Amino acid sequence: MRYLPALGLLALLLLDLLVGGGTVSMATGAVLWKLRVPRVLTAVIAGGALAASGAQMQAVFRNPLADPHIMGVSGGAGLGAAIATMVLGTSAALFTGVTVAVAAFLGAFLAAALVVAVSARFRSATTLLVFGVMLGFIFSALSSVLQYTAGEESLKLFYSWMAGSFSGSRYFEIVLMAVALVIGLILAFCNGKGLDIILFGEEYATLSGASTRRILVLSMLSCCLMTGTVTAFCGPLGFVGIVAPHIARRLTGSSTHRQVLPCSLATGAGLALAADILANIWPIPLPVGSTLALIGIPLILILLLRQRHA
Amino acid sequence: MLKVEHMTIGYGNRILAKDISFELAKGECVLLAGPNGTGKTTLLKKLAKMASKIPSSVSDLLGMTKECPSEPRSLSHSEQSSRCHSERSEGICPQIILIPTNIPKVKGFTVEAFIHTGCYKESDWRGKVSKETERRMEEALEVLGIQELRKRDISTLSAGEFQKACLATGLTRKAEVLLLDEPTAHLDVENRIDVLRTLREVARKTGTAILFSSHDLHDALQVVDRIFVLTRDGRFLTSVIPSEAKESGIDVLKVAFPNLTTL
Repeated sequence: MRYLPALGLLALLLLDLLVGGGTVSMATGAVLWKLRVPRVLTAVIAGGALAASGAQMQAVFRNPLADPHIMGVSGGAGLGAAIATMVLGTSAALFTGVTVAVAAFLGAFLAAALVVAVSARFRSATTLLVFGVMLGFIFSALSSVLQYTAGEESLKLFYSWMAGSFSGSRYFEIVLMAVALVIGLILAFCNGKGLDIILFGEEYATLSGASTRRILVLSMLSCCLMTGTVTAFCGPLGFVGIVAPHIARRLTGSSTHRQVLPCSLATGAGLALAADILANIWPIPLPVGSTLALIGIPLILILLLRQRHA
Repeated sequence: MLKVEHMTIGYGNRILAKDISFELAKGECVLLAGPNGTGKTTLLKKLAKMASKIPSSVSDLLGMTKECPSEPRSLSHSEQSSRCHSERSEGICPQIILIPTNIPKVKGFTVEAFIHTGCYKESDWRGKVSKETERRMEEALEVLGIQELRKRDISTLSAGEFQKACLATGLTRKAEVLLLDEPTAHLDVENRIDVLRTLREVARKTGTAILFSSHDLHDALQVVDRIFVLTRDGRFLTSVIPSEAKESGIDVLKVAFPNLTTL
């Protein structure tokens, strides 16, 4: 029974390797190694990173629905991608996926820097939450303005990034994401006891000798690093960050971050893999952003309804 | 154990009470009463804040605890802290721990995990507490009689049981003075009396000085040694002699609550 979740994760992993375009034969292992393995690795890293970010944000904001999207990080990434595709991308040579990814990354970090700067100034989590949401709105408004004036070609590129996908990343990009994930996780684990005590409110944390500002800044840095990098390469992906930590808490029966963080990594990866499988079993692959919503939203609803019962 | 002289409390430019002077003895259990808005919470917070300016290791180091420096008539926080720093050498502050009101009962924490988490300062970077802290937690659970609750999720505890878990955290953190803000708020009669009795017992058994605010005057009066009162016109009064607590206590309470007829 204890190993059931781990077995499920493994099954999802193998299943995800089996789906997708191209037929794998002994002679052409190329499809496996060049297309499917990178895609599966990307899904695992992205899912884990978003889930670990969500777990931290839910603790810091003491809000069960907090996740990287809410802090405007994805919004910043979206604006970066929009600028890349619609302003810089007038010449065809610059017009590649990498440019979009780099610009999205920069946008995410701009948003992150703003949030961290504000979090250093205001200790209140509520103020920060409102700031993050508003920042997200401003970024998406600016993106819309750009889209409105954009040409057909750039729109297509922008929308394909917006739809979200785990495929198409090269090993170099996967390494980048993995590095961001590892650094983000180290920050999160060092902040573990801070994340625990902040759950009991800022006053209690301060009275126990914790610096709420330090806890906030550390967790924001960690979230922004992980989310920014993943969003840059995979597009803005929602719902993993919200749902995965909740499933992790249910599985471990604990809210202490020494247990929630590692378990969230697994549940996040599992969700991302499931969404990727659902996206790739069709003749034409669906956008992962949509399949994640299709899997994630029912899960959120179940969680909410159960909470109401209890 | 704790001596405060001529302390002023307030926030912004508003002074709530002036010239607060009192002493707390080892093992004493004192009620802080007063109408809403007279500064009970502010006073408790200020005491806790003062203590945090002075590292508890200093008092550990010297193996003794004496008086806490108090600052005369200053309101701004920066001024307060600088004063406390400068007086660090003169007075040694006991470990003062404030348990605020309305700590959320977060689901997913056992009583043990809750206490470990509360020992933020005392644990290492991973949140692990030392053997010594672990041992003190055992003692605290025993004194409070909640050993069997240690593996229970705190969200399943009654308000009274949770209050005891909070007390256990304070004791585990080596509190020499425990301040409690409204420990009996939201409790039913039975739990209220239970918690109040526990407070008295803890003070007796562990020698911890306890100062708590409460609106349950009648019940609190049965267990406390003395009463401190904050009045609407910003005065701070104490009932004088511990052995005559009840009469003296009712007298000071009547100053704070002029319309109070029976107790």
